[in-house]
Amino acid sequence: MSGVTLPTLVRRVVRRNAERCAIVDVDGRERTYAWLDARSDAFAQALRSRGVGPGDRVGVWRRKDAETVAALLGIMRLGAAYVPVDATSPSRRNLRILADCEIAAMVGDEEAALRPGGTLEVPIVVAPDDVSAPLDLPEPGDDGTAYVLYTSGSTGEPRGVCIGHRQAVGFVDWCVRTFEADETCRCSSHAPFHFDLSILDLWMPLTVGGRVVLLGEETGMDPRRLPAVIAEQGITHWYSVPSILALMASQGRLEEHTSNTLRSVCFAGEVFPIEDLKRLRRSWAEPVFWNLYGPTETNVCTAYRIPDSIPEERTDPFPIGTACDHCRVIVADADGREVEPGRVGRILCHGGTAMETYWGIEPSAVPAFQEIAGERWYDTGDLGSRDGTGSIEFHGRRDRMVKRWGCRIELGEIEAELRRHESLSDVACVATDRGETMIHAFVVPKPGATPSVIDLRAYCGGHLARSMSPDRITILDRLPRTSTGKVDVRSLVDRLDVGGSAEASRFRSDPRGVDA
Amino acid sequence: MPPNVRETVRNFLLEDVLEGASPDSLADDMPLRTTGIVDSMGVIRLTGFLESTFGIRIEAYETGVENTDTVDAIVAFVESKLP
Repeated sequence: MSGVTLPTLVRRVVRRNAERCAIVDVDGRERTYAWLDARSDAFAQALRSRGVGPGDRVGVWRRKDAETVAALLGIMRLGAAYVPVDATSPSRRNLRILADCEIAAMVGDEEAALRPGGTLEVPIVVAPDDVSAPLDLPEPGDDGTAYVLYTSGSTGEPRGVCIGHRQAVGFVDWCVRTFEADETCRCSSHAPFHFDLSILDLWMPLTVGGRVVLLGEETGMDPRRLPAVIAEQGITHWYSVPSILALMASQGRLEEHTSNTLRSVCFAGEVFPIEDLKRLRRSWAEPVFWNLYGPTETNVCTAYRIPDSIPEERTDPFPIGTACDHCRVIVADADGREVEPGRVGRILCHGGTAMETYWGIEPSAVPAFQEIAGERWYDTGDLGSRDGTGSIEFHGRRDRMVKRWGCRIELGEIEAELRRHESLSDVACVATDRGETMIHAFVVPKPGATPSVIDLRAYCGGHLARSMSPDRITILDRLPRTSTGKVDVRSLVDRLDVGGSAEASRFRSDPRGVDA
Repeated sequence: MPPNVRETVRNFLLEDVLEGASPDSLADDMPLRTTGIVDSMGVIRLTGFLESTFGIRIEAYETGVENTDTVDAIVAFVESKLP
């Protein structure tokens, strides 16, 4: 699979499959490969005429639909990289991302013109005219960047993960082989395009001649609608964060939709609570369930095949499994030496699908890159241990990152945003985990200011990505501090009525057996 | 005697979804969804609560912004389902 790019692979499918359905749009409309080819040419042509070329980045600020998929493909056909932002996120955050990435142009929707442009003075392409004849573009090189996905950064600024075509194609190839995707595959697209789960959803089916079934924002969050959609659309491959599968298991009335055509059910992004997983497995007995693991920086790097029947007495979550064949994964101590099975260490990944670097940062300046025996490894920041069979068990984070709906959230980014609020003088966030991750913000108003919790929630709704909005905001006169002047997180957690088992994410309560 | 719909909805929102908010700050015509004050998880919790409390069945297509953006809208929606 060397020397090719994602758009080249899709184009090969177009030649043999022009009249087959490629995309089921969010409104149920079917779009063929010929349509996808023509519309991606239209986007490529419109962007090229505005000066976009190989090596550029193009922002994609557009709701999820088939046209947006065509735009992603058109951008890559030009040899440029697509930079999708969350169309439901506040403008400010998106503008920061697009400015950071120095985009050459943007693909938007009709609303794009209404949004504040800020410092982004770039051409915006909305609905380009069809081109009269297929574009004759040079094949893009496989050494270029295919897309840049922004993740939450601990400094308060999002960071752009640059993934090259070689990495993307290597990953998609692994997916095709592992999940046996072919022309008959109908893959769900549940994740938004700025989320790395979308790489499998889109490019696995579209590079083998299958179809991708786009699930809109509203449908995707609705555990009662999804089982019917899965059955009606004949979905064969499902991929999402566990949260929505857990909601389907508990509230989806699965007994009303017992027959479906699922072959693979993949989940990633967070731990699947075992009771919900058991319930889902009982309802969906046929498909193979996969627990996939990997940060955006490496895409999926380990996989675990869930057994066909889960013993009722099992209470531990399943392992994240063993390394995929496109990479190597080790559990190591701080010096990069592999630790003994059973000991907890850092999870590190090296290999074919890991990012080139963060946008605008030299690889040598990325703290998470670690040189071991002359090779560059990516330190995920996650902790794990090998079990007796060599499978890796997941033990959480070393730092303050938390996950919600599979989205990575740096508590520092929430704090940085709340500190900008005109009425607040001090902020501290803690996360607790009792089956579901809850984010609690403690805020101290400036003297004389009287912000209400509802004002602050609306502020969060307007300034933070939705997954980042705190579940609970508590207004305090001052933050408790330790004798050394640090925020006393333990004391904050004690104020929360969340039961004795809650553990603040800042704390790793049991350091024994940890070599990280 | 069925529970007072408005009071029940307000109490659930204040206690369970907007924990820590004072009753005065929650106006009945205040947009909650479109402002991000209540997120989609909040709506899922609200839906489950309304079904069990009022013994109604809420369909997937009924949980959009039109029925859930304000306290007034939620109350009208619940009352339209009651016998």
